[in-house]
Amino acid sequence: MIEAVLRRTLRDERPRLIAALLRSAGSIDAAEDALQDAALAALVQWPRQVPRNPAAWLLATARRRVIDRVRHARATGSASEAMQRAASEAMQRAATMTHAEPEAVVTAVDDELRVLCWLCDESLTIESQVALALHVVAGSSTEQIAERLRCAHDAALKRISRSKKQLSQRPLDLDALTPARVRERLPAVLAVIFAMFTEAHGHAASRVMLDESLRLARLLCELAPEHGPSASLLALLCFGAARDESRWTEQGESISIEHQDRARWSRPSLEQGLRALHRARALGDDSVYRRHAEIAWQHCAAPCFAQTDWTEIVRQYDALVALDATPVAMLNRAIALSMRDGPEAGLRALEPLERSLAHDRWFAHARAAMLARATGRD
Amino acid sequence: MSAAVLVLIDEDDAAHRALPLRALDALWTAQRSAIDEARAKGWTLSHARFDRAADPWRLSHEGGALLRERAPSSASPSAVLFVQSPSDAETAQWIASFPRLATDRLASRSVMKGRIDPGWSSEPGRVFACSVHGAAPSRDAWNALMDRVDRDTAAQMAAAPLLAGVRLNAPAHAPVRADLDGPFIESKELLGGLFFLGVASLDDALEWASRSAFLSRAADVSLLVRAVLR
Repeated sequence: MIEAVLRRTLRDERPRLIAALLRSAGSIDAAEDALQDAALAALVQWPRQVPRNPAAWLLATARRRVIDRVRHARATGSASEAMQRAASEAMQRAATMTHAEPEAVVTAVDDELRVLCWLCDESLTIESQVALALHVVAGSSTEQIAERLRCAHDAALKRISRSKKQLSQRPLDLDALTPARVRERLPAVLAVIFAMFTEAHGHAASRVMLDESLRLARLLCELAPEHGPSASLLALLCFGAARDESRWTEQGESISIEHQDRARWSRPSLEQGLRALHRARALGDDSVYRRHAEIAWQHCAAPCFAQTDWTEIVRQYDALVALDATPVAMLNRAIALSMRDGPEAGLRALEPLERSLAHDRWFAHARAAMLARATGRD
Repeated sequence: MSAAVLVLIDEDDAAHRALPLRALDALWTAQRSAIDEARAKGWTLSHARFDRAADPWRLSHEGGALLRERAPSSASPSAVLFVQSPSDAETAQWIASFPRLATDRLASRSVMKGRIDPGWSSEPGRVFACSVHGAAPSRDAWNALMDRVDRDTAAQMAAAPLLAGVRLNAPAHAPVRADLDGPFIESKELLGGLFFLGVASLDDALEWASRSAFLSRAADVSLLVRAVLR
């Protein structure tokens, strides 16, 4: 039970904890190590008493670990200047904080967007930025990241450690990230939030991660209200959040959109999403996020599965594939096509994907469903 | 350009919630094209929608102290439109045909001074709307009251992060202390003007609003503060 609480806290609160720790620790590795130490300490101490606010406890403990490490390094004469500066900041914070203080985590949230922007450094490729952000902020495993980037596990691991090394040479000056600087990095930040959302969307009980990506998208829309892709991404996330509760059985198995209870979809979230989508349309956004949002909207707006407008969905997938012809986008287009024109049309559209998606379970699943429909009807 | 008009839109929230989503999408699309068409004709048109999910704050002065309380969400319209066209008749016609549900209510008030440029909506950050409401025994007294609010606002709020603002004329035919003020039927006060503040948080907006000197000089004036949806 203790382990479950700890695992949940680490998964759900990690973005905020890491963001808060980066300031005092001075480097990604030091922040991650400190959090790791705090988690080990929790395993020893929580069986006696689980703290009321596990995240605040972890943060306070991790901050003390940072200080301890610097003291130790200082005593042995190996502390760098940056380390010293970070440590004195951490000590000031620790002095004004107790375990029971829930604000400790709340006040740290604004740092998260800054950390995300810092990770989205121009010197890194966009894939590296996404990989690093998923690893550091979202706490995704290297296996998950490899799946996301469609590369081998080794390659993902190398990419992350190389990016970390490269980033360690950049100053961690979070306060220098002004709204204008943040806006410059919007494309990468959007890609990361989109990846966080996709990650959350794939698992039951990752509501906190979903809310976190929503919160970040909202912040971006406030920061850059004239930026169409941000509005589209917010719309997409709202539509996802609106359906979240109806997507899982009590056992955490996923329910397909055909069998979801549409009465449980959250009307306020759907309306918020539609507002954002209208904003994106007014701004003339033509990004991939706009297409994803339009597709999600078509599903949300259908009164029942049978009344889904597959013609419009195929049209949106055509536009998406024209922008970004990834195998996954083409797979989903084929599914929509099979709903519009019948399973044979879908199977034909799958043929060219066979090679690139040979081992993809979604591909196999989609083809099996189409074959079943084709033979069942004959 | 003729006189500008501020349209206060009071939506029937229940009717909107009951609308099928596709119909809602179509309604919003129609509203947006109405706005786009007017802009294409060279009209000045801007649109602000308020967050009705949270009740607005009402600031007033009573017994020498600043009073801060929640007002019902119905005290605030759903949205406002600032319209300026070449002719009053065209403006009136456009407002009459603005797409809406049958149970939504619209009220137009002529603008005495100030304007709301569409550009405010692309400013980064959060925006809060402050509306000035006042009650007076006569039209002259109400005008005098709003004159003072106007002077005080100009002097006191010069440094405020003001994005836009308008002062409204008293309605031509309505009694000044009455409930004919369009959406504001819950309050017995008349809307005198509206301004937008670009600040980081509601607390900051309330802080700026509290500095309005006119609040302390007359018990018959109040300020309503609420978030603008971005």
